[in-house]
Amino acid sequence: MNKWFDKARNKKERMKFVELWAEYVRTHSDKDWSRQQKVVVDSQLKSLIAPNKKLD
Amino acid sequence: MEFIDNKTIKLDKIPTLLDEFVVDFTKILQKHAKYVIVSGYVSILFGRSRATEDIDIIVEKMSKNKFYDFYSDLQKNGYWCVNIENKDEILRMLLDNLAIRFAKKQNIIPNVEFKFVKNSLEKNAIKTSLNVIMPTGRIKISNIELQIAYKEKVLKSDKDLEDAKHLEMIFKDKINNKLLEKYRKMLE
Repeated sequence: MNKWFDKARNKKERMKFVELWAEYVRTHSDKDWSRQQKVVVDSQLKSLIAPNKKLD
Repeated sequence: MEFIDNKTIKLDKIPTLLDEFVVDFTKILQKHAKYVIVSGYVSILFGRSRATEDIDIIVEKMSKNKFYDFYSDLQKNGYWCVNIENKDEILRMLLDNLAIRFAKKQNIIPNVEFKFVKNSLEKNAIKTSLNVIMPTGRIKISNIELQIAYKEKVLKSDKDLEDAKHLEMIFKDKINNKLLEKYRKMLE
């Protein structure tokens, strides 16, 4: 284990969040979860695209 | 999300830029060949909170003329091939089982990683694909059991295991467990 970062623990915590979010998606309306997902996906995608290029 | 029948899911989501890109591309593709979307985008479509640079699409093999028509249609609709421009070279790569990438002109990301079907598993993925109907359009994705097993047993990165867990939880009441186990054993 790295003294500065516990990779195994981080992996476990990430998976816990994946499960929590999946349960939210499963039990809420498409409009509800997709409104939140759109913020994450669109911002990640825009940050990957060169600033002078346009997607939309 | 609503299961209209065992092959069709209605998804009333607010589309992300990725969803719009995929619907736009597949509207062109579906006029020319059978296809199936596989891998990361399938999990993202159903809510995973991450983006991806590329959308993996497996397409039935096309004849030379069919492919030229498709490529011309893509170009007319503002797409380009990121790898090479010459259509003969693109087709040669595809027939050599190499993937090529299509993106909107002047962009590289996001892109479609496009490949011809090359084995029985991929043929099966096209044959057993699911229809997903969204407000913006209709697309074809791989069956969920195959996606989960492939991510768990073949790809296996942290991201893929998270994608598999997400799908398994979202579809926990709908998954065919026998089929999932069959795929898991087959891919081990």
